[in-house]
Amino acid sequence: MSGILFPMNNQLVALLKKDLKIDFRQQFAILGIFLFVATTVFIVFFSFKQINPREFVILYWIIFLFAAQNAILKSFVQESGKRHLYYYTLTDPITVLISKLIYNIILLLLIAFGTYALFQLLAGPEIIDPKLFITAIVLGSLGIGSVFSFLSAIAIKAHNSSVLLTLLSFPIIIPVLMLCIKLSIMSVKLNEAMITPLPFEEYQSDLAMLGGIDVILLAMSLVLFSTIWKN
Amino acid sequence: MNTLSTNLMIKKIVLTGLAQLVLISSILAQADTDFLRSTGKIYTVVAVLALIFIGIVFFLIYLERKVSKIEKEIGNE
Amino acid sequence: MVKHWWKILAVLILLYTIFAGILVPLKPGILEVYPITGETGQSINLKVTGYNSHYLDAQQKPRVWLKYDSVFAISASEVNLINNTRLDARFNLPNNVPGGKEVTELSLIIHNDIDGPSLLPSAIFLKQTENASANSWQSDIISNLPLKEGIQFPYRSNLQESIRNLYYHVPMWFAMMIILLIAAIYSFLYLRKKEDKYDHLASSYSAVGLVLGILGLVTGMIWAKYTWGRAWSWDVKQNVSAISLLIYFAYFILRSSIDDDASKKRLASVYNIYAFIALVPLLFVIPRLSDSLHPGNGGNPAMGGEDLDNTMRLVFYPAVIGWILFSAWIANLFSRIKSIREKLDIKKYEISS
Repeated sequence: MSGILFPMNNQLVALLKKDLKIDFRQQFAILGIFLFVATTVFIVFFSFKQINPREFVILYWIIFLFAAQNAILKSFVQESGKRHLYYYTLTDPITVLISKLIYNIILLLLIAFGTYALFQLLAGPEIIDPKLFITAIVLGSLGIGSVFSFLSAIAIKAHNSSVLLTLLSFPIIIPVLMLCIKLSIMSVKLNEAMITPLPFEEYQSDLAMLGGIDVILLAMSLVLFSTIWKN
Repeated sequence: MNTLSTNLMIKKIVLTGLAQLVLISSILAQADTDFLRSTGKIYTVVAVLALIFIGIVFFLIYLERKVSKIEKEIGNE
Repeated sequence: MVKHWWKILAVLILLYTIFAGILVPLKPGILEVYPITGETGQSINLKVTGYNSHYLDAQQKPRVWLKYDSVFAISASEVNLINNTRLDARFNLPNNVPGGKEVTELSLIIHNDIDGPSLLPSAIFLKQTENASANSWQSDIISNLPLKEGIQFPYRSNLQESIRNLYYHVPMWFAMMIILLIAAIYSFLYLRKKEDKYDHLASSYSAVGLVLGILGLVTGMIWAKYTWGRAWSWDVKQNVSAISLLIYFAYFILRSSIDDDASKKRLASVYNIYAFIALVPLLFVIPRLSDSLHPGNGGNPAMGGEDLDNTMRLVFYPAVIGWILFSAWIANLFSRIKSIREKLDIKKYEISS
């Protein structure tokens, strides 16, 4: 692993640049995701009018999950066909995965913060512990991004791959999402009586758990990815 | 022809078995409380054992169909 | 015959667990009490119904207490025996309750020489009324409660005979975990050695694991309906096991949606390993983090002490081993069928081309 890290850097940057360029050229795809987020958020606010903090957090994560799924399906459709094999001849599979991983995670973080900004603009609840909320978003994007990136490499080989990706990934994502929802509910001002953020001891086990799952998922993707491409 | 009819028969058995399972469980759900709660809830144990048995039987029927398909193909050669 | 010893062992163990699990009697217990509420200062007559009890046969007249904690308890002022499973106990309830709460739960304890002690937790609810006076608890010490030894399963008032489901419902999950672990190991071996038989073994073990999981879920739902009141109460362990079944359904859908045989086997193996390792935190860690209706919740999902006594261990552990061996047998049969199927397909292909 360490041996390939050095020459990998250039290739990694090149691959990331390529993804960025494609997205810049096909702006409709990325704008489409933000349009999706905006529409859902509007529907939520129109129909709920008054939203309580707990429901806000749950809706936030559900909207985020579907937006993330859309975003990754997009990057996944544009890479269909034999293009992956072409990258594979240029560099090694792990570089491809890492570039995809980094790109997808950055994309998910953008979506997460974008959605949050939109919610806040339209009067979401006050976040009392921003550090915890941001940690939840980062760890959530990391876990969800790694699962989607890895499993899309499997699903790409099957029929009906976009449906299959959902089927394969959702049961694995559920625990990550549950922990994210739990943590972000703790970071939000639930009632008027709450003035100070919760003490660290309250959520440290959940945080450790989420981090642990992320590490396992990332490590598994890195270890198993080369076997997907080996023939 | 013979294997085809046995296959059909097995299909029928599976279907009627499923229908019976649904019937039994709906009867249990309606007449439920008193019967399954009687004699110290012993009938929940009976129901659990019966369900496990039914599960194994369904799996056996599934295997049976696979084997008879193979038999049919070998017979045709 | 020598080769098949473990299959014979599986059948013998399962026969033993079915017979022992059904035939060993329960310890005597208290089924119900009427009335279930009382007021302080009242004199109430409790109609007690026992289970498997021998109130009349006992040489010694049953002693009956209402217990608040290890210090405070009151003994019955008068006990009338009606038959072996019915007795009436009269209590003169004291004027105030030690805890000083508005409503206090009291447990009922009955002891006689044949049955040993039996307990009904939260048997009656004692309401504190205004007429508080100096007359406090007599604090009758509950003493001399020799336990009755013997091959009997414990009596729990909410489970009763359904405690026996422990030997049929729980081993499904234990066996499922082990069988799925074996499937993941075979998937790993497939990726290593690329021999078809490992893939057949992996997919067969996953299928059997899935069947065990479904059976565990369905039997659990029946048991839950008659102990917790609802078949599905969104308990953590129920949710987690439903998710794990979804993962393996996805595995089979993946298998059926790839045409190319070699890449189907490779990708399915990769997903199987990935899914199994993603499943482990799900099954072992998440139940530790939240409350559950299942025994040993909130910190320790394993069963210990109270929930599994020595007599139950004698049946429970063999049941787990028996089910693992039995399911491995079925899975092996299944994979052999798959191997034959594939050999036949290859032959057909060779003939036609």
